[in-house]
Amino acid sequence: MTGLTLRGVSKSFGGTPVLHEIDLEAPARSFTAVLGPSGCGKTTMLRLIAGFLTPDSGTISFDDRVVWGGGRNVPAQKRRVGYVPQEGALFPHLDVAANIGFGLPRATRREGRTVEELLALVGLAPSLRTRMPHELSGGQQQRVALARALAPSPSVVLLDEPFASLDTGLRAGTGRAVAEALREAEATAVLVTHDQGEALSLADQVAVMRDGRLVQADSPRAIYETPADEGVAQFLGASIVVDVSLDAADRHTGRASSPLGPVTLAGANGNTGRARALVRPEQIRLCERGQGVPALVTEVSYYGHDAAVRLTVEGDHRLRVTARVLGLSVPSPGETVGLEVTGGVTVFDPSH
Amino acid sequence: MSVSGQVIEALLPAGGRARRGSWRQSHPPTLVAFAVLVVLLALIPLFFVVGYTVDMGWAQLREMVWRPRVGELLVNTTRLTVGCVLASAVIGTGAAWLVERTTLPGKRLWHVLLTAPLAVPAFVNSFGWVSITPKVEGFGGALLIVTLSYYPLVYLPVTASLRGLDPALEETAQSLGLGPWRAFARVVLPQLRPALLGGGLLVGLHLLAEFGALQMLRYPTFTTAIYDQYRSTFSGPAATALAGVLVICCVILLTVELRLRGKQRYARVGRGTARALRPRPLGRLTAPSLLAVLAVVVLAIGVPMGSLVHWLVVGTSTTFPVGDLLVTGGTSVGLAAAAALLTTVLALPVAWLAVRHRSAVTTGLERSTYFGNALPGIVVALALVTVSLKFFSPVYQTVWLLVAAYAIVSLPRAMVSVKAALVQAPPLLEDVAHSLGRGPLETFRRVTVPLIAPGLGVSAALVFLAVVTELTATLLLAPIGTRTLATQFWSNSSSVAYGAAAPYAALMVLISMPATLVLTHATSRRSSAS
Repeated sequence: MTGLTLRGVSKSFGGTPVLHEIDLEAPARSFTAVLGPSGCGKTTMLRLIAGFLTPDSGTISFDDRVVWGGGRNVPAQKRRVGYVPQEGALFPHLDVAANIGFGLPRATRREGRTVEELLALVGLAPSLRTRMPHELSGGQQQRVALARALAPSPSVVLLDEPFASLDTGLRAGTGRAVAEALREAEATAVLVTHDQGEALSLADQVAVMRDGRLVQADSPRAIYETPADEGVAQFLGASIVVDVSLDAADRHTGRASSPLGPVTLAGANGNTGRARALVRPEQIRLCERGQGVPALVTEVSYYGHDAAVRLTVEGDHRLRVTARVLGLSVPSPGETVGLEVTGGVTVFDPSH
Repeated sequence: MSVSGQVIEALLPAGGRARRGSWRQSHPPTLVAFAVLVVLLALIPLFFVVGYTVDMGWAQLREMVWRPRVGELLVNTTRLTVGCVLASAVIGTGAAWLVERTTLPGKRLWHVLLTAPLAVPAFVNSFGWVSITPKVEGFGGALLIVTLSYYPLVYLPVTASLRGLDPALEETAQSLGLGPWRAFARVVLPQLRPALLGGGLLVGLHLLAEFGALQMLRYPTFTTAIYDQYRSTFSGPAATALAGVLVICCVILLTVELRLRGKQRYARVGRGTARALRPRPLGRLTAPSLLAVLAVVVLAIGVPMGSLVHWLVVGTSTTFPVGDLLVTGGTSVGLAAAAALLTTVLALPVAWLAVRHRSAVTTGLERSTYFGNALPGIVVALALVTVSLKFFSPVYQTVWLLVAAYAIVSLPRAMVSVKAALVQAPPLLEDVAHSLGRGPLETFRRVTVPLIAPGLGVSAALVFLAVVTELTATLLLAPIGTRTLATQFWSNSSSVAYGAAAPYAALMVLISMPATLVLTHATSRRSSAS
């Protein structure tokens, strides 16, 4: 299996830059999710990798085989890339078996065994092989599209928001099935999505894109807990950013004071002075009045398993924060509670 | 990505993005060259009319146009066009509403019978009436007969619109306190406006071009006058000046339609599922409604078909010209097949450029091919006679010139179906095929062709049908000795040999009836699905 490398890839449309100097590395057999708001250029990046578009500059290589750059341009049909577009894009005039076998040599197609293996791989019953695409549900179409992409044993599989058109319930199940099939096929996969839950739960590596730049690439946990800047933090989930003041002693003890009380610093950079730190709503713990920092409960959104509690911190700042608490112990609006921050908080590097 | 970048990406069709780059990439030179040739062919009639008018000069033009005869023709043409468009709108909408939205018994049968007149050329309809009673000659008869021939052009789009309409609109109007009639007038009717206007425009353009039916009814309009003028003075300035006025009438009609259409949005806003609306019970009005629909069908199909059968029986008491029917039928079918093939082949590159390499240039090329739709067959024929005599005299009096005229006249029909087919074959599928290791040629063969084949078939069938029943251009351009069903029918019926004419008309209707029904069925189903 093959790893994928992009070096300094840029692309503009009619003078408007869409991608700036993208560097991305996806190790062999890894699952990378490219996460970004719509219009950030992530689909363009996928189409560059697939060979449907050509970059203005940079290199794209599969392992050490350069497919674009240095005067080389391997056409899409010779790149051995599996491509799963939005809504599947199955060939409407072919049945499931013919769709899956489309990229296989004629002799293999006739055997028919591979089709059944592939159907099993994506978790579909063999009886579906004679169905036409319009007779399949959205989730089934996506799985057939994946099987079709995997059939010729591609070096890289690209998925362009494949679950965006599915219902919420179906989305998680299909996503897991697809990720499992990709792992079993030992494929190197790149998934493009604007859904942070999908990116965090399915991928080994999450790459965040913004305005045509790749801002940060790391493991899901690292990127959620130690985002590079406030923008990335906001994009990955609800976040509270508070001012903290750090002196050398704080650096040493690993603790600092904030409007939400004392916090433990996660990671370390050598800055001192005023800085901004990230607190996730699930890090705020509510306790009895009198303990921690007093705050007034203004509004509660109850979801059953948990609840979002909006609070106004008493004191000079009148800071408004949202806490995510378990559904078992939810305060009522108007109540005054105490709050404290658990776990480590990330301090943003002011140079970002 | 910046906002303007997003806008650019959103404006580009999905495939256009892939081919974005240099001018050469976005406009493949061979395709563009071919498309330009096609457009030049399609624009010959326009060049001819404009060039001739400029050539003639103002003084002579005024002398030719400013005559009482032209005034008479103008009045005749205008009142017939306005009358027929209005009558067709009323009959077409009324019938469509009864069939689509009420509990009228036997809806499916009525739908087929109401669209059937499309398979009967107007000049055959006219023959059916005039061969029984000469009373239909003149304005009243002409209005009756052309309306009966052309109302399906309104009926079909209105039916499709009614079918595609979101029933929630009418329900919302009723929940806001409007009674059923007011809901229809204030909500449904405005939604039918594009269908009504489009249908009305088609009726008007057909009428301006109609020759056979009106000539037979001795009701002179511009088209019949041009023909007479051409017969007496060949392609003299008088015929050309009349053609110029006729073209102006077409342009006025197109402008009026554009103005009336306006810029409102009629598309369905939400994606709510289309539920079937409960049909409105007719109650005591059932019998009168049935009678009204029956009357339309009997007058539009019953009378001409009955008359045709009558003349067939009477005529065959002497001799039934089997041999001649076979020969002329063969010629008609051969010409129609050649025209169908040629026109579809001509439409493909222009449509491909317009859909897959969209730009101001390619859209302009595409639009230019639609002029043939607004120019009457007689003007196209006149133009080809003059231009071929002047510049390409070897093609004059050959089948090629005739087929070229057919292609110019029917190019718009072919374009519409080929374009629709290409739009339904998304370039994404070609990208997927490439990513699965398939080269451009194999992708075209295994993905694109199977996807657009039905559209190409519809295009060829539409052209075939139009050509099998074509009379005007055929009369002017068919080489001496080339006889088609239409011209043979015409020469017999002009000499009042009704019995001899009938077999040719019958064969023409037999050839076109099944295909017409299949096509109208497919079209109304497709437009209701989209």
